[in-house]
Amino acid sequence: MARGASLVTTADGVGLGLRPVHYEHVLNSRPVVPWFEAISENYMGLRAGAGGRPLEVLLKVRADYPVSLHGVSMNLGSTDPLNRAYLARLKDLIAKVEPARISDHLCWTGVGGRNTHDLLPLPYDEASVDHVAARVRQTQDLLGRRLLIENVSSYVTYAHSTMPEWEFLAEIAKRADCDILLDINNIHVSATNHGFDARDYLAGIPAARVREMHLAGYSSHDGFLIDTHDHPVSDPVWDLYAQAVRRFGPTPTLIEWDENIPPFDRLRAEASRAEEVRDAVIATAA
Amino acid sequence: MQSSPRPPKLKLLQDSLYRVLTDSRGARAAARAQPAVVSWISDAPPIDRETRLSVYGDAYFLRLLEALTSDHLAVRRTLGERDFRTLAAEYFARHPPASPSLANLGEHFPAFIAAHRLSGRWPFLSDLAYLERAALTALLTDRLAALDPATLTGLTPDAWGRSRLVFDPTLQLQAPGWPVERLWRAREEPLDARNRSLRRPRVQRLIIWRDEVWVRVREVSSAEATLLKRALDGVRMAELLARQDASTRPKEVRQWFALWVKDGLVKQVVAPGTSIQA
Repeated sequence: MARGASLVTTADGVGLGLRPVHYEHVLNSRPVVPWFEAISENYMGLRAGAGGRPLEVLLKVRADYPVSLHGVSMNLGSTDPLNRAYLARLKDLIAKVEPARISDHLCWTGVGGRNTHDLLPLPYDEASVDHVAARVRQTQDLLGRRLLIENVSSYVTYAHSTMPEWEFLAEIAKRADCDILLDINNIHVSATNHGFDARDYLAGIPAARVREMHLAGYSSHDGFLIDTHDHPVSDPVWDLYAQAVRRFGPTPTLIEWDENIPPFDRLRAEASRAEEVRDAVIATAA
Repeated sequence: MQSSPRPPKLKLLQDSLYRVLTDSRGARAAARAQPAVVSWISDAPPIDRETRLSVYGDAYFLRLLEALTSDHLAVRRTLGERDFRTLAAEYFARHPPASPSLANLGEHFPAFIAAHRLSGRWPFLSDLAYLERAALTALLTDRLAALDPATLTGLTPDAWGRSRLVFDPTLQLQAPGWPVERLWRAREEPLDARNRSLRRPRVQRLIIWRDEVWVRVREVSSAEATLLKRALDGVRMAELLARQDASTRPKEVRQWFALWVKDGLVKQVVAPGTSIQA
């Protein structure tokens, strides 16, 4: 397929993460999937290179499917300067892939030029809102694309936070004029770990900015939840997803499964369940 | 929300937390030594603040270990789980990740191993790590479009003699002092004491490259490696073919060249005023 205008750039419905363990199946079988999500950093290659074999695969997949690029290292919440070399490489990748959406996390991943490769929470206060909103704006300008920022699972909050997480997310999205990727599993994990009501979270998010939702599984350690992406979506998260669809409408949704990844058909079954939940809510509302 | 009398600036908070979460003693021990940092975390029983911080600290080490393991299965297989973890922990302390991509995590690992005490017990270990790193580099490097062998027939003998070969960017040559290729091939096999070590050094000439699907490694003779190195350096075909070792027969050279084309190592034949490629 020729690159360019003929590529489909909308990505609706319930998509799946494109992971190396399923490359051959996707390339050979071309399964019916509305869209694939690709982790941006996995297609940028080494420090001085391009994307290599993973990018070859992604471009072949892209010829037949819409793709969203989801990053884990934009480091939007860090006090380090924005990593312009990283953003330049991301911009190159965006030009090649023509993704439907570009997203990363509302967090910091490193400081002092070091990277923890983890999604670390920010204090929810006015200073952080100012700091992050300015960086999101700057990043959107550099990339020439609108960003979606995603809420992370967290295991700590800060004593000097002055607002709940949903207000923090909504205010940054408003000031940066960006969109929101609402991770329903992350809301449930953080609500359980910090003792807030997940329904308050949904109620505090501006519906017009929610452009994508994520569903995943977690691990429980005596009731303390860890966002491991290695289990099926749990029943409380399905319930919360139904409430989110009720509030935000039929939003593009991703099934995330990154550890102990099951056969592709199992992922597809999880996506089918998300479609059923979504369709049942819509049918009830109609 | 709880109130804190002196909230830290974001920069101080991030610098301090980074040190706690990446401390080689573990985040829990590091947090005990940093009560001010712990005081910034909301106290939310029944899970104490040090335990909450240790979730991030444990994940930091395990995530890096998993990434380094996947890039160095053969080194891990030789060392076993315990020694590999120890080596990895020391490596992360010396070379903390500084790249947005985990693929760069192990870029200093072979050199680090070469200077590590474990190399006294496993003298081939850094050679093995360099080979694994080369394989990863080949995997993550873009290839050039394939050469159509039929196009070579269009070259006149004169143009052929003046031409240079352009090789695929994934191609690398290595000459490890130990024959590590066997251990690299066994990297995903179950641990077998008979096949995780090497007894005697022997210089091995290896070429590493990538085809459409995966990374390939092949041992070549010293003469083929020398010829390939000169070709990679841009020596013209006439000179390449004229200055062969006396023991190398023209038939061998033709076979090597045919194999380079068949394996996709040669991507272009560039003669002055012309470039032939797919």
